[in-house]
Amino acid sequence: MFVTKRALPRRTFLRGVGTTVALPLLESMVPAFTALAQSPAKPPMRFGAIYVPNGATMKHWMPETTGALDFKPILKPLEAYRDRMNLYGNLSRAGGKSVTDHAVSSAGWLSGAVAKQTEAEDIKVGISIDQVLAKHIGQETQLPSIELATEDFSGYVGGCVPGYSCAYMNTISWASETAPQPMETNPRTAFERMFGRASSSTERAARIREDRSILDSVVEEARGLQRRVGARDRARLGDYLDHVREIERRIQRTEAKNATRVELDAPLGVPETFEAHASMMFDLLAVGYQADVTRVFSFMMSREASQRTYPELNIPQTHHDVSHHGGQADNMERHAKVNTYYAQLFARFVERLSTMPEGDGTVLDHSLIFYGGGMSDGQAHAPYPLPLVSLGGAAGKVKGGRHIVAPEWSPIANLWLSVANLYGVSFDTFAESNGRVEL
Amino acid sequence: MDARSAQGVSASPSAPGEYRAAIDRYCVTCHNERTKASGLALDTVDLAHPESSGDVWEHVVRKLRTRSMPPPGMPRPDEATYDGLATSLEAALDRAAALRPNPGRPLIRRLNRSEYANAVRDLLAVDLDVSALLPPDDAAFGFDNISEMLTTSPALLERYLVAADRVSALAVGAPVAAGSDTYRVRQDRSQDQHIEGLPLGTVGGLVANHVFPLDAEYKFSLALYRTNLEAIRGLEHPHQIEITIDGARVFIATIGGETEKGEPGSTITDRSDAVDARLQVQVPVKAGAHAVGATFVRKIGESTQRLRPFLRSSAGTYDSTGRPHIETMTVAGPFNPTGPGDTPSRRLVFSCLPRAESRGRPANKGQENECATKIVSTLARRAFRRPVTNADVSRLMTFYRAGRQSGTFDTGVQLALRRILASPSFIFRVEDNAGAKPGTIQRVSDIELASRLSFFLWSSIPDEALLDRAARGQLRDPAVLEREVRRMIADPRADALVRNFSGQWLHLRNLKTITPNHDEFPDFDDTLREAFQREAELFFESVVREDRNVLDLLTADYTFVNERLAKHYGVPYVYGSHFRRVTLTDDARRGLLGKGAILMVTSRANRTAPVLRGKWILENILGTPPPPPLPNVPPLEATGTDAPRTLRERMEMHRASATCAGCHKVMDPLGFAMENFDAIGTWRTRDGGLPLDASGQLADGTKVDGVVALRRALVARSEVFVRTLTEKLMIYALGRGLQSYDMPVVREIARKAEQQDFRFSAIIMGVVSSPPFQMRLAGDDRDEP
Repeated sequence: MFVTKRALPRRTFLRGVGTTVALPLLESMVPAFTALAQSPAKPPMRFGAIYVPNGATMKHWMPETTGALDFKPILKPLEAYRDRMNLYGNLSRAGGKSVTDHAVSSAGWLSGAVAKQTEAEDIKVGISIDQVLAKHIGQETQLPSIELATEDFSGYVGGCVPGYSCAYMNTISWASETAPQPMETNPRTAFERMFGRASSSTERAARIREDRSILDSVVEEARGLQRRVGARDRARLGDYLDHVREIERRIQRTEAKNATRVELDAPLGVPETFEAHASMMFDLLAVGYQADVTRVFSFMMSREASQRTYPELNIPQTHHDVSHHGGQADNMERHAKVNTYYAQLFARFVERLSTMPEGDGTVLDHSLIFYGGGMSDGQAHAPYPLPLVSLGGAAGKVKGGRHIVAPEWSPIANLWLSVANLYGVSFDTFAESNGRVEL
Repeated sequence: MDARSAQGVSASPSAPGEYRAAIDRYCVTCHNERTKASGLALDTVDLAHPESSGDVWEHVVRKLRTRSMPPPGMPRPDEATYDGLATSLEAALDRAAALRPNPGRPLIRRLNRSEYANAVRDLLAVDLDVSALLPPDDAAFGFDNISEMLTTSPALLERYLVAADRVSALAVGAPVAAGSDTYRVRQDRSQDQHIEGLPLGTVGGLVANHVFPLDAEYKFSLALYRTNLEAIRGLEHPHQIEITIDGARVFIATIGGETEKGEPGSTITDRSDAVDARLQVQVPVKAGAHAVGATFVRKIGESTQRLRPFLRSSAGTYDSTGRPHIETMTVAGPFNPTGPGDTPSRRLVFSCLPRAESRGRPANKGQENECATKIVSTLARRAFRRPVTNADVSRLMTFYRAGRQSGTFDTGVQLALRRILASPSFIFRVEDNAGAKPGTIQRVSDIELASRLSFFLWSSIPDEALLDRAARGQLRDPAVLEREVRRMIADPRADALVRNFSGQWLHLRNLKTITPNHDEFPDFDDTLREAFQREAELFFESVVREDRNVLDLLTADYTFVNERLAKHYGVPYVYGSHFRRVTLTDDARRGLLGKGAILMVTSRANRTAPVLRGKWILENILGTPPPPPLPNVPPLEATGTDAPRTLRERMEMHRASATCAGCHKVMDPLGFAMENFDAIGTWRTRDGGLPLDASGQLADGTKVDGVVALRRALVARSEVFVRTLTEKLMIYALGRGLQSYDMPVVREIARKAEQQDFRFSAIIMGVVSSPPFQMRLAGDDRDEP
């Protein structure tokens, strides 16, 4: 395994253009980090979810003894954080044994709901827990949530599960049961969404003013269009108008936050290797948390049925192929190797959060980050038991160091219901929930 | 369409009811009310009026036409019964459709990413890589221009707003802060071969079409690939590396050899950083698009010391031998700008200049307003794809005036342009339903038809000529329509049909995602990947542009190769990086089934996948996609023995299981017939040390022994292929999935095309003249009581 310890090479960032280039001050909405760290105010509570596709070699994930927190090979990289980690047992995918495939795995993970079998018309799953929380704890930050991924799915034509819309596999985040949230794969674009673009402050103020008047005028125009179309299109334009208003709110929040700025290095684009790409996304998320640009994220490390290959791990097959191990020991080991590689990259992110001081602790202490997938063993697309851990203390609300064993075949929605309640959302049920999971 | 023409070849097909006995005998054994195999009960559906269960009978027609039912091993009807039943069902369904046509209800469509890029290119001559501006679009039914999927979200709208800002600034040449763009070379792109678009006498590197926002200085810098130990490969020998703009050298440096002796005590990283730091230059460049290249000067007589060198120059992170590779080229700027320059974009945008200004004196407000009105009206007409209204103009002029007040005339125009690009009338394709009684069939207006045409054939907005014809109401004249369509297909913008339609129909877009295993395929490199793509595109394009018989897609004895691809196929005497047409002497390479691109996108990283190849043929050639694998299928049993097995032996296990056999008996033989091509399309006769067996029996009982026989079998049912292609084109043209009520239209188009030798233009004309393309059902289901 070749996970390097060093931080990302500097030259993957804009600064690498050369020291003689005088970069303008980035139009950044980031309050200076020190100011935040010293702020006496109550630190914000955060949520994150990181998706691992194609299931896992479960015997290398789950401890043999129920309830024990033993670190099997895949989760070994996280052992240093055992006091802030919880492992979850006995959770099942939405729909349990009734459905089986990649599409329902990714779509059902954060939504806890079963994806409706349809190619295009009336796609439907359920709102995902990250979006529930974005509406609840994300309203004070410039971005209620951010959604990231690493694979540009335009190279996956015909690669979706027959009978299921591709949308079920292209995202894990749903703003409502019918509204998939696009996931950004280009670190540069994600950076600009979070921190803005290079420009002077007067340019920036002018742009904000102009954006506002453009949006006002767009609303008026769209209302006119609504009168000329049928009911379904009217509803679609209605959604569009809601989105316009959401952007207006964001602009307001941006203005309110415009106090201090710091200079950041912008990423150069999409890195070639998976390791560099995923690490860069993790870096952006860490800085986004630290700077309080957003408190909620979802990150799909790779897509279900991913065709990515791992020559760096010396594995001849693609991720998807090796997950269909056919019961062969060497394939199962290879699959575990991919799983471990992912956990190593995730562990670096955890390390980074654990070294960001904030208030009376660290950013990690104030976060709750779930790491896992919507599929158990990859060979049979198994729905149970799902591989899942959480890191972080949710600002003292969640105690670590436990292997939490839910009743057998507990729907994952039970966990999300408890999470919603933990963050102060007073749901009584969520998707398929039939109980709660002790947190 | 009338009932008579719908009867097709057979003069007077008998009524479907006469085939009751045949259906009972061959189908109902499994498909009855009690067992309901695949949810289908054919004993109780109305056969006298097949249109009352259109979905069911269209499904049956498909199975009959491809002979994929009854399943192998069950009693089958004779050919006459197969054809008779299919023809009679089709005739009945077509007759019913003629009496009660349904063109479908189109929904609003958002411009997808490639449509947005093309629209901006055609409107403003701004040719940008939009993949950094907009996310890819969800696809359905095989294409990413499906209205149902083209929804919005706040994140997406934000991207459209940012794009409007950037594009308008570029088009007008507005002052912008310095930024940077980075172009990346794939690690497996060989650096020892010439790359098309770069000067002769160079090898490796990249060339990018970069849009320079202003007349200004720009900084170009290169970074070379490093190994896992941070070393730059190949520095033991000197190499010359150059940067060119439009082919003219602006920078050259020598790296490697004696020059690379680091300071004593310096680390590898220091030395590598020092090399990269030397590879940069800042020069003035005129605004507009220029081809920027970075490449190595070719050295004569240089070769590797390997006895049998790979065709790929080394690309491994852990391999410290071989040549240096360029990893990225970054263009930063503008610095010290001198003005907006004279660009094609500015010439397009500024269709007038304020009158006095053109004589060198400041214009008065009235003159400026007059000119601005002309500019925004012209741009809005093209962007909104319709005549502009007073309301449009006054809305835009508000923005012009706001911009003018805070800056110059250009600032005003830019703000108005930004408003145009942010407009729902630009981003969405909306057809006017006002005043139409829900449920009635309406012909779309000529203006709407113009957009339907241009987005189908160009993935872009109509040009002025097309819009003008539409505004005059001439497009409903079939002769004018045909002339316009022919003009549009001949136009370079029809490349979009090649890239977007064939790129998705044939799965060519997936090439970039696939990385064949380096140990199994040490010669494979990105140069070959790109050649596969280019070959398949040129091949499809030849059928489009030369208006050939579409069956040539399966059978043509020509293809397009460059040196790298010719070497791969074993075609002699082809030199250089450019593509040329060659006649194939090898029968196996004919048509799509012999193309490297198709063979690679249907393979796994380390081996062939007959199942994937079979599935690809079923979906894209025969139009009968297999159902998804059943839930809870037990894994193929572990072999239990260490005796070597061929892939085929392992695959046979699929068919041993009754649950899997139903589909795999249809799918696998198609794929096995192509086994002589390995996972990157190289011809072979052995696999895993054992002789290869490409024989099998297709669903219709035809015995095949390889790709040539398979192709012959597919061509024997040419009407199936033509219908499949027509269906795919219809989905792409309409932006929706097809329903059973669309199938009579598909058959009609295919039948008419047959009378014109299945020419590509005959199918295109069929699609654009068809009721679903020309009409719509007004309102929608939610409007009806």
